[in-house]
Amino acid sequence: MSERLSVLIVDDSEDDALLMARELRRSGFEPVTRRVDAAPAMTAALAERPWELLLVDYRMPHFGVEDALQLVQQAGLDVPVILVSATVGEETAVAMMKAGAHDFVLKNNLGRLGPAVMRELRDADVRRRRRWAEAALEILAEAGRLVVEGPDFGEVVRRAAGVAVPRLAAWSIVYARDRSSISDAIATACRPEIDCAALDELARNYPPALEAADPVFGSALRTRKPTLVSTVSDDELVAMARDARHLELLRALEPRSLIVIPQIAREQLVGILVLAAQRPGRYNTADLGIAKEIGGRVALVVENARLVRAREEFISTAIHEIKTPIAVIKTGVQLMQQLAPARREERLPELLARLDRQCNRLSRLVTDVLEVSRLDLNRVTITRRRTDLAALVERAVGEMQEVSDRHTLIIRRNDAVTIEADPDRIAQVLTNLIGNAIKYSPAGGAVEIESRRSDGSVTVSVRDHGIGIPREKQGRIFERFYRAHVGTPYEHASSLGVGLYLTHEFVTRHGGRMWFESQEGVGSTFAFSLPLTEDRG
Amino acid sequence: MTRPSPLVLIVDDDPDMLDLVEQAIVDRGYRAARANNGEEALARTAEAEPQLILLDMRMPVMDGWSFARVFRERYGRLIPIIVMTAAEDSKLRADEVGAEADLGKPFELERLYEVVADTVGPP
Repeated sequence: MSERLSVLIVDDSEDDALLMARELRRSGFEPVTRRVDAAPAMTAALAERPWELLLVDYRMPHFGVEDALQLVQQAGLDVPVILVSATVGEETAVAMMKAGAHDFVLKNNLGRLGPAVMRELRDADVRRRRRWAEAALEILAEAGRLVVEGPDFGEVVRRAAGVAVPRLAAWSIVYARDRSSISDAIATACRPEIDCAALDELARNYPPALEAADPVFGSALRTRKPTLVSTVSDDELVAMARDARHLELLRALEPRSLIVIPQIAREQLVGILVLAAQRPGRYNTADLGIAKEIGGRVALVVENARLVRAREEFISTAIHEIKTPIAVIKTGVQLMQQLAPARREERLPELLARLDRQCNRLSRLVTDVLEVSRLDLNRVTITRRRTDLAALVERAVGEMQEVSDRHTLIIRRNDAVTIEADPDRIAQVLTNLIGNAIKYSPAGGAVEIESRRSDGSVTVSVRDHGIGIPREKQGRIFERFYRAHVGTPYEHASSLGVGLYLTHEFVTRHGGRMWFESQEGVGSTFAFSLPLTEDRG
Repeated sequence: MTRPSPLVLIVDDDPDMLDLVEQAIVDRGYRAARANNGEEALARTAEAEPQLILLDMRMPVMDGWSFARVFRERYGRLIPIIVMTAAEDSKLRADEVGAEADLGKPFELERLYEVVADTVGPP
């Protein structure tokens, strides 16, 4: 087995350097070495790439071991340093170890080099893991505090960006989804020496895009897998950049080592955590593992904060939606009260129809709100009984035709089918789908309903010729609290953001399946199928 | 010669609410015009300048906020707006669009008559 090892040799003798490399190969390493023998060259080498091992000659004419050790410390590196010397007294050796060397090997006993390197690499790995673990603990504690204190969504995202800086990253960015896109909320954190304005500009103007061809973010998003680029070359910065300004920002911020963690919660991409270090090779696969864990916790915290906010909005919307029919009912009743008896008589039938319609609406709303909280508490029970589906379809169409005189509900086909189902829930599914078809075809027109029996199942579809669903939002419409038309002129169409979520849940809990086709500006067709359990005939 | 009674434009996306408020306004002796959303309301306003707008806020196509913005650009503050909304804080919504008054849904008809009379005078 041979293990690649990048070794910086600080020695004025090329022959000695070759001997050390040979010794390392003999011990099973595949050393990639460079030799330097002066301070400027060593400083440059340390900054240029990550070294896994430093071998330092004890006696060089113009460059002492102390100087070399100091350079390592100044660079903030924790890399094994082994002194190699022709002779070394015990006292000197102890002094050098105190100055930061990890071990020493005599040149006439180079056979010890291999085992010493192995031990030091192992120790360095242990030290790195311990540092990560400590940092991870602190970060997880920080994440815990976020949950307990429950600040608002933006604040959570901001603090999530800060947890890894400065301990683990020179700078970091958190992108979090709020309503529609992965970059709804953006927060950055950076060490004081970083140009934070440039970082903000990078984060805001160049958020990761699924379609981006870049080798880091694009691929992390597509595969949804944590991505490590241990050493980022300038060529890679060029490949990441979308335009000249982007490249300028990247070069200014110098992400020379990168970790990109797509954050998944409930199987959805809910955010991205970016950790950047300016030292090439700063991150390795062990770092990636821990970063993944941190990313997972951060995702959970951010997603929780988002849901808390979504829930608050849901409650506020629900109150609005419930007050609306109450306002109609109240206005209607008062209007009747102020009329003379004769005129009251004349207007009563029309008014009663309105009141009935608004009571139905109120009842549907309250049922939806109730069902959402039941689903949250996992207390939904489906009570199946023999149910005449055709009759349910008829009734739902009748009830919903009352909602709008600008729409014509047409039953294209309604096969006679009896199913084992919870009639209330299936009725709710039907009224939700028809209600949506009406709501999202504001110009009015036909809404076509079809119930078709086939082998072993029955399929019901509701088709409208309305505004359709924007393509990029189609993937999320069955999500709880998701409102596809936020940010469009239909944002304020009466909606709780739970209708399709409930519909989908109920169909699934009946062992059924649900799907849709939709094209913006053309319309949508929602359909579900339920298994038939009845005897044929 | 007597002046014609003030024209009140009612804007609401709920057809029942629209009908009932219209009846209430007409019963009181005012003239009424109606619109289903902000866009229709702008068209109605251009046709016959109303003396008062009764404005719902959350409507599809064009909501109350967008309507008020365009409306103020075109007509300044000559025509008063009264906000009628079921949203949590109707007073705040009224301030957002520089409305004369607010009616939190559901409201008393008497209060509707009061704010209308306060803004445009008796029918």
